[in-house]
Amino acid sequence: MTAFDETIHVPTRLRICSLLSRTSEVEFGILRDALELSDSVLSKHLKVLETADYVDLRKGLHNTRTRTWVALTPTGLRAFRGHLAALAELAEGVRLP
Amino acid sequence: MENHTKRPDPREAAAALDLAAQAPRALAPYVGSPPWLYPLQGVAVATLMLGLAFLQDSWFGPAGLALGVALLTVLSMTRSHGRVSADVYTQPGSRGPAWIYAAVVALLLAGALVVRPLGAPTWIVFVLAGVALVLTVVVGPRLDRRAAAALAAAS
Repeated sequence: MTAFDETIHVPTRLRICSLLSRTSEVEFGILRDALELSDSVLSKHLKVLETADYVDLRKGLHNTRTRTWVALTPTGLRAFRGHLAALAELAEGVRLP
Repeated sequence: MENHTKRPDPREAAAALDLAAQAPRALAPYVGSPPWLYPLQGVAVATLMLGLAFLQDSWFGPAGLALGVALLTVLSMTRSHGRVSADVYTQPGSRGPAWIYAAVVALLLAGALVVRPLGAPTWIVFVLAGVALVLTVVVGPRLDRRAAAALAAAS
């Protein structure tokens, strides 16, 4: 199903969703480093995605430290795939250099 | 914070698709399992095989079965083995070899269950379990590397 999603389309959130779509879950610090974002910017984008029920945040222990893991929810995965399909429709025939 | 409300034109849509396709590359350096994961998984698989093969023989069978199931359950419940949890059974780069590994382990298990009732020597079952253990220890990290390589090549 194609469905353009304005929540996901913001470039940083698009990258977050793309990255999470290839994993079961990712620790917050890894996501921050991989996307080269500050803690606060990543937190704000995750909050938006969490409000839309697109990501799930959970606290857990890793090497005696409490960390936050982020995962795409089934709703988020569906929305992300639908958004990619909508982009593919819009971009039909366009080739980037 | 950035916000886009209008639909992109075809060129912007293509650029967004490109951005989404390349994003997973950044995760590749972080994919990998802790060194204890595959040895422990190998021990669990081997113990499970021995438990099933010797289930009728002595206390060792039920105990091995229980221990194997308990180990595999704990491993599957410990979702965050590392800081990135990427299932090697679903990643494009490692999915094929991972399912071949699973099929070989299933064949070894079937072999262990079949040779006992046929009156084969006990040591054959231990050899099959040992092969499953070594296979898990050897193949596991390779699957991680293949999954990481697939992410690094995302486009």
